Parts: sequence; C-alpha cells; structure tokens
Amino acid sequence: MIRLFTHRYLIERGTLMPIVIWRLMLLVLLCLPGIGQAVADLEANTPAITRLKQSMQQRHSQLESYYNSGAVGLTRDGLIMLRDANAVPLAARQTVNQLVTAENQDRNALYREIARANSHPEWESNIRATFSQRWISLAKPGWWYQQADGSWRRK
Amino acid sequence: MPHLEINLDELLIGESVWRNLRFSCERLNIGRQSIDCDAGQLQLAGKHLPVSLQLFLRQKKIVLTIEPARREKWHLAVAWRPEGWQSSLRIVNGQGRRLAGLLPQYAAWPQLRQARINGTIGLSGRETLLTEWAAKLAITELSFSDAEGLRAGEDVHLQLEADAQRKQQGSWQWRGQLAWLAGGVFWQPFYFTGGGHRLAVSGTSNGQSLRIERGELALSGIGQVAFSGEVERPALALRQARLRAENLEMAALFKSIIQPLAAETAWAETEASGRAGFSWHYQDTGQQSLLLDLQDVTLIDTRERFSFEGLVANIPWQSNGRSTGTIRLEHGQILRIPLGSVHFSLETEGMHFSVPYVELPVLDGKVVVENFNASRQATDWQWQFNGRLFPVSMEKLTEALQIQPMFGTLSGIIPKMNYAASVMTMEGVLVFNLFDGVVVARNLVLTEPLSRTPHLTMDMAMHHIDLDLLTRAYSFGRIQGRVDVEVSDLELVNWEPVRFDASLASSPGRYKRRISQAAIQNLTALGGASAMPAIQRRLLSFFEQFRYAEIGWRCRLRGSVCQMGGIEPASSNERGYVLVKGSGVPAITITGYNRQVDWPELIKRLEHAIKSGSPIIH
Repeated sequence: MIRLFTHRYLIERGTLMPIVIWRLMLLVLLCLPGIGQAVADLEANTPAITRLKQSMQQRHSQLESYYNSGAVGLTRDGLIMLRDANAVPLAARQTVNQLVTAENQDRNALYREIARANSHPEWESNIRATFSQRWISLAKPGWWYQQADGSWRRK
Repeated sequence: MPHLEINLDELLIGESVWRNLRFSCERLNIGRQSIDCDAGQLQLAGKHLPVSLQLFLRQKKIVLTIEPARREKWHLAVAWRPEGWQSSLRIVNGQGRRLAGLLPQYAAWPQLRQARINGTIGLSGRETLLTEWAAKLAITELSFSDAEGLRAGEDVHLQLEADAQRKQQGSWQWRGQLAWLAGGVFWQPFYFTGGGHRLAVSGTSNGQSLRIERGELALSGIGQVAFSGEVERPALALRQARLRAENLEMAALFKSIIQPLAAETAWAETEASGRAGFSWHYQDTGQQSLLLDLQDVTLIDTRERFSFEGLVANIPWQSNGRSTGTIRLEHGQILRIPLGSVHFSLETEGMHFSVPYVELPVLDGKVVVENFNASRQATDWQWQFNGRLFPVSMEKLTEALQIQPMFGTLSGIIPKMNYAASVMTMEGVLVFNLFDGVVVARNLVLTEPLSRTPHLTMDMAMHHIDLDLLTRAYSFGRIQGRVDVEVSDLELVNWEPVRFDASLASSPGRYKRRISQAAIQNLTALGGASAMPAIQRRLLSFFEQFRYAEIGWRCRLRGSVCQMGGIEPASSNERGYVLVKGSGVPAITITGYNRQVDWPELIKRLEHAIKSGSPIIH
C-alpha cells in the first residue's frame, strides 16, 4: 500500500517532486551521526600524524609475515590482534604481542589525531570505523579480518 | 598349558574411566614359588600392549612389566605385608601421553601433548588407604598448549622430586622440588626459557585447604622469592599469602616480568638496572602491606622521555594505616631537562600518597614542589601540587632542550598543577624572565604527556623583551628596542606547534630604536623580494644602522601554514603589510608580501641560517 501511494504521489506532482524529496533525504542522511565523517579529511597531515604513519610503516615489515600466516588479523574496530598464537613460533609470541600492542597504540593515536586535525575530536569513532574498512579493503588476499559479528574471515 | 584371561568392563581411577580392559596370558607357568606369564597382552584403549606378569606367592608380591614400545618400559611391583602394602613404579622412557588420562582435565587448562618420563614413583598404604608416596622423575621433551597457544611450553626439561605422608584426620604433609633445566614456556604475556629456575615447596593439605608453609622460587638471572600461603579448597580461593625477596636483579626482572605486565605504559619502553627487594602480604580479600626497597636503580626510557639514575628507595605501604618512606635520586632527566640530586620523604596511607616538600635541583636553579598528593581513582591516577621555581638560566635550559638559545631566567611561582584522566592542567599563571622581559604563561593544559602524541595548549604573553639580547643570541643582525609578544591559543602536538595566533609589536615607552643593515636584509628577505623600495635599498650600503619608529609582525598558524601580517597594511600596495616603520633620517620602511609561509620550512631555514651565521630567509 505504501509503495503504491508513494508512486502515485510522485507522479501526480510531476517529475520535480522526486528530485526535491531525494535531496531532502540526502540532507537528512548527511546530518545523521556517522555520516559526518564523509566530510572529514582523512588525509589530514600534522607533524604528529606524519610521525605516527612513519612509525606504523616501519613496524609493518615486522608484522607482514604474521598477517600472511593468519597469526595476526585486522579487527572490526580498526586495530590488530594476535588471533592465532599457534601460528607463531613459541619464542616469538611475546615479541608479536609487543608489536601488536605498539601498533594498536599508534592506530588509536592516529584516529585521535586525525579527528583533532579536523577540529572535531568527537569524530574519532567514525574515523576509526572508516579506517577499519579501509585497512580491510587494503589487506592482501589470505589475510584475516574480523567481520561485524565478531567472527573471523580470510580475505 | 594353563591360560589366564581377565576382563574388566570398567576401571575407575580418580576421575578417569577405562572401559573394556582385557588381560590375557596364553602360557601361564604355575610353580610352587611363583606364577609367571612371560608373554601376556593387555588390551587398553584399543591398543594391545605386551605385558609380563610374575606373582611371588611366598613374598606376596606381584611384578607387572609393560613394554608398549621399543625402549619404553613401565615396571610395577606391589608387595603385601601384614602392616600394609608397598608398590613402586619404575618408568624407562615412558611416553607422557599415556598418563594424560590420569591428569585432571579442565577445558581451560593447557593439554599435555608430549613428554618423556624416566624415574620412579613409590606408593604405600594399608588396605585401600594410601598413606605415603614419593616420586623422583626426569621429564624431558615436555610440550603442552591450550587451544589458543597463549599458554604453551615446548621441549621443556624438568626434574621433579616430591613426597607426601598422610597425617592424622586425613591431612597430608608434602614437599617437592622442581628444577626447570631447559625449554621455553609462553604464558601470556610472559616468556621464559629454562636454565636453572628452581621451585621448592612444602606444606600441608586437607579437604578444606592447601597450605604452603615454605616456598622458594629461584628465577635464573633475577633472584629468589620466598613465599607462603593458603588456598581454600575446593574453590581454590586465596586466603592469605606472603612474598618476600631481596637483591633481585632489576634488569632481568624488568625485562621478563614488569615490561610484559606494563605493555601499554611508558614502563614497556624502559630499561632498568640495579637491585630491588620487596615484601608483600595478602590476607582474605585484599592486599595488607607492601614494602618496596630499591638499591642503586637506574631507569632509562628508550624514547628518551625520562631517566633516573642512582635511585635508592625504601617505601612501606599498608592498606590501613600511615607509613613514611624515603626516596633518594642521584640525577636524572625529564623531557631532556636535567635533574640534580634529590632526597625526600613519601607518605602513604591506603591508596593516597603525598610528598609534603621536595627541592629538585634543575640546572643552575631549583624547583620546590610542595603539597604533592596522589591518589588512585577507579582506573586512573590523580595528583596535584604547587611549588616555586628558583632562577634557572634560560641559556642552560634551551641548551638542554636542544632548541634555539634564549637568555634570561626562568623563575616564579608554580600555581596549582592538577593531573587527572591523563590531563595536566595549571591553575593560575606562570611568570618568568626572558631576554630582560617578563613572560606570563596561562591556561596550560598538557594532555597525555607520555603518550605517542602529547598535546600542550597554553596562552603566553611576553612584555618588554630586549631585542638587542634576542637578535644577538640568534645572529640575526642587530636590532635595538623592546617588544611585546602575545601568543594565544598555542597548541603543540608532540612538542611541535600546530596552532597559534601570535603578534609582536614594539613596546610602548622611550628606548633606543635602531636596526642594523644585516637585520634589515634578513627582514626584507622575510617580507618578500620587493619588500623595500629601490631607493631605500641603495641607502643600505651607506649606513650601518637605521632608526625606526615601530616593529610589528603577526602570524596565524594553522597546521603548517603561517598566515602573516605586520603593523598595518602598506599604503603603496594592498597586498603588503608594514613590518618596520621607519623614523627620522635616513628612514627605512620594510614591507612584507609573503602572506602564507610554510612554518616548518621557515624554522628549518632559520635554524640553518643561525647555525651558519648568515641568515637568509626566502
């Protein structure tokens, strides 16, 4: 019933009306929490952001083999996690733990700094969510990532 | 030839159940002294194991030998006497997995995967009652793990000696010694390798509790920890415990135990040396007391944020009650600012810590900290103090901070400083002297000072700064005069500015106002290529210095871009702004045209120019 009514409503008022309604809907969507990040500058650059990115790049070479083996995976909240310690030699497990902790400290700081650089510290969680998707889309085939329901999936 | 066959539908030992056990012997030798079976077979858990059996009738002794694999032997002898029975199990190259079923099975516990066992286990008792046991075992190739691999050991080599005797009313007295000789164990977040770690414990147990009367853990490279305690059974709740250690090696203690526990704090990146001791008491539901003793301890942050050397401390603490400790430090540094020798008392009362007064030498001056109070709130620490700053040379301070040299002294009252939820705030104003002027800092907020990205925000006002001292310090070319500087909304991230609104203007009043030829050239470069009319440029070569009426400069920094301005818009060009307004004869006016400047690049060039002694700013 609703669909029929909507269809008739739009037709009766000509072709201009659907466009106006569409734009209004878009405006409402943009005002919803979480959509605001669409206007955030994720490439914002400050000395702190540059330093964090450099630190993460340097660490990546140490972590890459653990992403490849599935020992370390990308979590749904934009961090990383030692998800399968059995895939790491016993003597290296503590080192991997330390790498994961350091990486997560950098990632948390990065999201916070990008939000601050945008003059909107309250955007941090949305920026984190966006980055989470970005890390997963950039992940190589074979890497593991956490899905929205918390389960793990191999890319 | 007689034939023997024994079938057991179900055998229950402890919580383990074996079903369908079958022992058969095709050739049974029955003699007057003994009954022998040399080639029997035991069917257990679907496996057929070769077994030999001897029953000595006069001695009332039975000997059972199982050889499940080549070179593997389980030899059990049981003898009965009127006063009781005795048995001994001798194991040669025994596979540990055969015992796995006898061990307690909890889903959360690591599971035994492999072990090789050599040694003996002796048991004795009366009728169905076990009264005494002793074991001496060498366990090699031990590996175990939980499902996640977060508590696992590989190729571990242990030596175990233990014995126990049943006492009155069903209680046991026991003792044991365990030596960990080789192999690695990861028990998140710790990782230890064997090589001399030893554990010795003795105590008693009954149905209600397990009491460790004397325990000693010797960790190779760290030291010895003595302990005792009592655990309630069957809930395994800790009722009381005492730990005591002296002369622990801080280097190994920090690396092996403290750093993994403090992974998300600055301690995770700290190297330590020296010696430490402690004494800890736990009773019923909480910690009762702790005594911490540090001897000649050095703590160095690998990221150079702090270091403390020659630290000697004796800090007693009680959950209910007041204690006073002492702390002595030979020297150290915080954020590159050197600290001298310091000695002070620390008062503790529950989770409240206070330092009434401490004098902290800083370079050629000192900081007096008064009324320092810290307390633990939920998950975070809060502290506050107030103090005074006695003259510290700015020259020495800037040298220590490895920034551009400044002259003057830093002194004044430190108003109330508060720290809570990782944010340090200053109430009131901080006043200090710089280049013969006065600097007032206010609204200071420092967020997460030891994090990856510390944030500092504040407002600053500088009054009557002597330009002569300033320009001589920077080899900028000489300028005589006085200026006032306002820096509002200053924000430093990781100690680098990312935001401020700064304005510099000649101070009101009568004083000598002169600017040298070199300073004009540098200011001209700062202002842009055509900052000075051609006629004025010609004048430069004739005079060493010039009079001026006013100097002014403004910078609005956002990110890395500085939006610049001067005293007023230039009348000749609407894009320009006046940096120096001339006065008298010859009069020189400098106009700026660079409205936007890359701040890091500007600083880099200034630093390079000052070092080379010929500052040219493009």
